[in-house]
Amino acid sequence: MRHITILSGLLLLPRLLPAQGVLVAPHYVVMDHRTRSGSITLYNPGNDPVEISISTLFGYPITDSTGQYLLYTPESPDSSMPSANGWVEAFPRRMTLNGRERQTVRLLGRPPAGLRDGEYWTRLVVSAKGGQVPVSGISDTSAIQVGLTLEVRSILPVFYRKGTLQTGVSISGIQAHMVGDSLEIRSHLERHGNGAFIGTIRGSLVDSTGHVATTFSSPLAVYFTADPLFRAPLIRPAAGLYQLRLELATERADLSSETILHAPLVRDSAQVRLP
Amino acid sequence: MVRKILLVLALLLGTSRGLSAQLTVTGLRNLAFGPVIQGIANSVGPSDPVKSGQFEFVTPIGSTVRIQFTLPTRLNGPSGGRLTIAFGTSDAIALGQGPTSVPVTFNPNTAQTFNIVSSNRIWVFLGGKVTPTATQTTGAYTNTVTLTVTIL
Repeated sequence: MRHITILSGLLLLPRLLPAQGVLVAPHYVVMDHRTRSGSITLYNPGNDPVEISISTLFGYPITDSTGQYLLYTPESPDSSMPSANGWVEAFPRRMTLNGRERQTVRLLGRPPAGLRDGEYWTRLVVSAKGGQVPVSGISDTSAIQVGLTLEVRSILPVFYRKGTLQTGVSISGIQAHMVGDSLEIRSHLERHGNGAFIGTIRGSLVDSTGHVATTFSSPLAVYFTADPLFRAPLIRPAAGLYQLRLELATERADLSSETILHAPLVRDSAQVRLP
Repeated sequence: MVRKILLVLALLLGTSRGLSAQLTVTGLRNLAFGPVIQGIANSVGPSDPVKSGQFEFVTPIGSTVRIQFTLPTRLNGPSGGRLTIAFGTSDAIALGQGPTSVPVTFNPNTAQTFNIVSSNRIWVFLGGKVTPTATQTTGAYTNTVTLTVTIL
């Protein structure tokens, strides 16, 4: 009985891991056709070794039927897709990082001959696995011991850019209605040019007197088309006619200006009647 | 010691184009059920401060991320033994570390998308339920949970 009590006590101790994970910087990678190279830095913030493997896949964000973003990863992208998968490679692809250790991973582009001007996409997949943590009480074979170890994976975009690049976006089909204490906004966004539209959407709802009832701001990515859902807080608005004003800018709080393809500001608005 | 810390910071600053432009994903605590009894199901809630699994990710303010778990349906034990594990619709909680952050309970079986607005440090907690049979072989059962964080 005492044995069981001690065992239970041990099992109640927090099983804090020695932080099995990895820092990846930057979180957006842009490569240029002139240098055909890039790099990321990996850093192990923990004290124990972490096994890291790096791979690539082709994918880009789309929106689902509810307006949520997800990563679309076709198994075999057709030739019309601007895929850099297969010809952007990372070196090294496997490593063990000791605690507090860093490693630069070089990215090298080997594009096919005759590559047209444009932006090509791939995704880096950085998987990190720490040492196996034994299930507590493993030496006690008279009981069932259960534990799950944790692994982490980071997926980040890589843009390979060649020649003259343009991006832009058009907005249509703006709809808005109240759901609970929020105004839900949907619209159809279509990218123009040969590069992804990475930016921010800002919106405001203005009543007939010019009073701003609510505002919102959200990061935006339109690789081809998207129908995202946005929410703006709005508690018990007065019934009536409002104007919803939207603007889309190639600015992002998390990205430097040189990372983004720039385009003129896009503005649109729609009448919204709230009951 | 101070110099060593400063050096590490300098190296990071020099190679990562600013500390804000980075993504860190870390497993902080294993999901651990501890001892279970044959024939009796055992659940761990995501808010359990000791047994729940805990991940952390840090990503820049203004980014959009999608998080997705890869979850096992069974655990591997001694002599090829298998133990059923399941994750319910409210077995995960995401919690930003900002002063105005509120916990978001979600289904770990489906992916979730977050706009990172006020807190760039997010903790994700995971619970689950194991169902040993009445004749479950004793011993240690394990498997792996993977958290994927995608920058959109």
